Amino acid sequence: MTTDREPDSVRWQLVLRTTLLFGEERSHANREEIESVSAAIERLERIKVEAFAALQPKARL
Amino acid sequence: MGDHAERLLATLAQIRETDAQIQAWVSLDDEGAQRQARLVDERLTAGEELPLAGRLIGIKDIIDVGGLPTIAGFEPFRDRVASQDAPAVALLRRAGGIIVGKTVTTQFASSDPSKTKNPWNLECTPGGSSAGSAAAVAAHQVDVALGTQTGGSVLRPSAYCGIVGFKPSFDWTSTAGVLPFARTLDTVGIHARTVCGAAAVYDVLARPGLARAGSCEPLGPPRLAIWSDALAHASERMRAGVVDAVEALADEGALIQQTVAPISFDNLIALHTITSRAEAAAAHRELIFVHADDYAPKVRAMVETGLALPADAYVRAQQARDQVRRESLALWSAFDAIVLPTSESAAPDLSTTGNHALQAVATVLGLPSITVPIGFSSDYLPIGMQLIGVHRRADAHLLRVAHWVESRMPRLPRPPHGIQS
Repeated sequence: MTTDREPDSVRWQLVLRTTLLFGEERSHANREEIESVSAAIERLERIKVEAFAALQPKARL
Repeated sequence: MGDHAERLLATLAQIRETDAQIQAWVSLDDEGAQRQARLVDERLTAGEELPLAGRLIGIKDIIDVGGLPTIAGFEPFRDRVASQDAPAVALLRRAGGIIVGKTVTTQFASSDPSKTKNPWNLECTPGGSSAGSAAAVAAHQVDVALGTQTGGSVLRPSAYCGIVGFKPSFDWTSTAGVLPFARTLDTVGIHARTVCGAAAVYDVLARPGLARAGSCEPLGPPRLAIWSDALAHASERMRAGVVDAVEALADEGALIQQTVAPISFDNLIALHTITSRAEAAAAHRELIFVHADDYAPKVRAMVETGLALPADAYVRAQQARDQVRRESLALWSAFDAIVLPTSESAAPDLSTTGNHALQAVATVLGLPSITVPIGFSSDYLPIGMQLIGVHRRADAHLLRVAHWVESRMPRLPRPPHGIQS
């Protein structure tokens, strides 16, 4: 599978994990599915949730 | 022979004849259904009141019916015979319903197309995953059918097939004996040709303590809110169809406003994507390593990706769902229902089961949703309007609102394929 191979990209992490689990030949986690899930995770980062906000680092005075 | 036993015999023959084209059924339970029909006749003669007396019912083949295999479109399950009825099926029988057999599902109620055809056009999908249940009801093979919805699997096939599809609130009835896919999304749903037909089944299956729809008496003109962000996700023709229908409802006295959700439509779908993959992976983590090659491609990709999903993403998605549920309750409490198109277009071809996004937004929030037929596309395929209830106890209220809407929309004729009289 060709994809964005930036080591910290969500896409690359999903490709790496599915390959580790199933092997490069055996993995059927196709590009469309990887794109869909990684886009969802990236969107999740932008959803403001109260439970997360309490854990954000405070700005230094 | 009693009335219901006679009707059943005639209908079974018609199902076989029409199903050569539609292919809505995995198995027909002739013997069991005839036994039940005779029993219903006896119980009625004895003076029992049966709310579903003689209704012919199809059961999606991920729900257990005692004595029949639950195959779920998965070949290794071909001989997996259920030892007893799922509680929902048992309740239907107790209420006088006659279980005719098991209807076709996409594999594991996911998104790989099934063999079932749309009774309005055999070149089109009936949708999925409750493909056989929707097609069988639309083709007048049965009166009602049970389906399940994890994304859009009750509402989308119902809209594509021109019938009513009702997904009540999450956990409205037991899911014991239902093959799990995503534990916080899986919901039993009802396919029927009228809102009152769905309401009768709802009243039998709903957990104690939930309000019943009763005789399905409609309310006065409802307060409806068009979800503008969702409307933008439908095709231009579908949007026009829904807007025309809403204008007709406004002429009848409905109060119409516009609304949004606490987060964008696309972000809601993102929460569904993460939740469904992670939970599907949990349900299938053992089976997929034993029978990987028996999985259909799309469901296999979903499970494999779900197994690789970071755990924190799943937890964060659940926290976000909780928050959006709370905020949507505050935002929508002034309305009787939220209005949006049921699907982005009318039924596409057989290579797909269609897009689940417009139906999945209610599923991810656990809110009740229903589709009501509102007419046809330019290709003479049915289209539906979706109504979402504004809180998790709004099932019965939503049925009454939907009945009000249904009574102001044109009644669809029988589709060209199926039982004609």
